[in-house]
Amino acid sequence: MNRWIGVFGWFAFAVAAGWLVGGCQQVRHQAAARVDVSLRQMQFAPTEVRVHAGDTVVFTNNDIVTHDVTEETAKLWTSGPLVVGESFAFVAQKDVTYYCSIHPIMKGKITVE
Amino acid sequence: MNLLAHPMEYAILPKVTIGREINVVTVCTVDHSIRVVTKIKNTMKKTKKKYGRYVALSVALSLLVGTIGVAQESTKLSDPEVAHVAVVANQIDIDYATIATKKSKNADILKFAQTMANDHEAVIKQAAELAKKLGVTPKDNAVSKQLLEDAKKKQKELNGYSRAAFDQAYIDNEVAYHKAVIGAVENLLIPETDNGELKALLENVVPALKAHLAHAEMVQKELTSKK
Ligand SMILES: [Cu+2]
Repeated sequence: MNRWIGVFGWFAFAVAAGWLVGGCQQVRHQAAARVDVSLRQMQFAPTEVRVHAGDTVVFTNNDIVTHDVTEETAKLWTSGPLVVGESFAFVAQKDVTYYCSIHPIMKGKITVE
Repeated sequence: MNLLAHPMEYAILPKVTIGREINVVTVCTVDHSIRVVTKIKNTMKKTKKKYGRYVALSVALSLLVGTIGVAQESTKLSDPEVAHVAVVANQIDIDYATIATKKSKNADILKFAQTMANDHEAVIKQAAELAKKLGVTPKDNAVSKQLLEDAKKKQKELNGYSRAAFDQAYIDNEVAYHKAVIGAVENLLIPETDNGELKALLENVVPALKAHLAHAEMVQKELTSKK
């Protein structure tokens, strides 16, 4: 009998722990998060990211040449030249398409969910 | 590195112009022979239409013989020589960009030229740093010499254009030059490089070259549509 209570207890504990951890992740997900985009081999990787409003997208130049990150449709904002190793942080509020004005074939997209 | 008696003519420069009409890819690596044969076939078709069957046949034959002939006379490039070729190939495009900066007034051309100068400078810097780290001194060789010789001719030609004609000539050359260099790096330099780090550097440069080519084609298209 005691053995069964023990098993049940562990089971209840596991469920509760799972719920707690899951809940924490949920909370963390809703708070402002950081999403990384790497600039490498003449591409934004990943090319498209899905974030929540207020999340920060951090672009880091891991390539061999200088790049930038520039809003594509009206050039509303730009990181300016990012030399190799440099990063640029952007807080996303709404959907945006961006490109590298130095290499206009490099394009990317942020979707705000 | 299977390079040839007249290396640039056949191995690096993809286009040999015969007369006004006929462009033939003459690259001697095995996987390229298929392309060569296809090109020869196309050339035959074109020539046949224009000059008749026998002229077409003889043109095709001479091309084929030429390709086989050069494939047999091969030389091997050492890593210091590969490094030298890489530096020279980058420097040549910087020099073209310098001419563009002097001659063009077109914003797209000027921006493209600036990107070429900066990016190729960055590649040279990395090649130089790697060479230093490996204790390798880039070594002059026949391929580098031929590259420079051809570039000198092209530079003279570009300098001779009127401002109106320059932009088109410059961007056409950028498209052709990047295609040629991509082919040379992928099919000749990379496979024959022994040192892993030098090979990795060359592999890293390919995406940049391809992006430059796509960028050049974009500017070329815009230029043509404005005419
Ligand atoms: Cu870029």
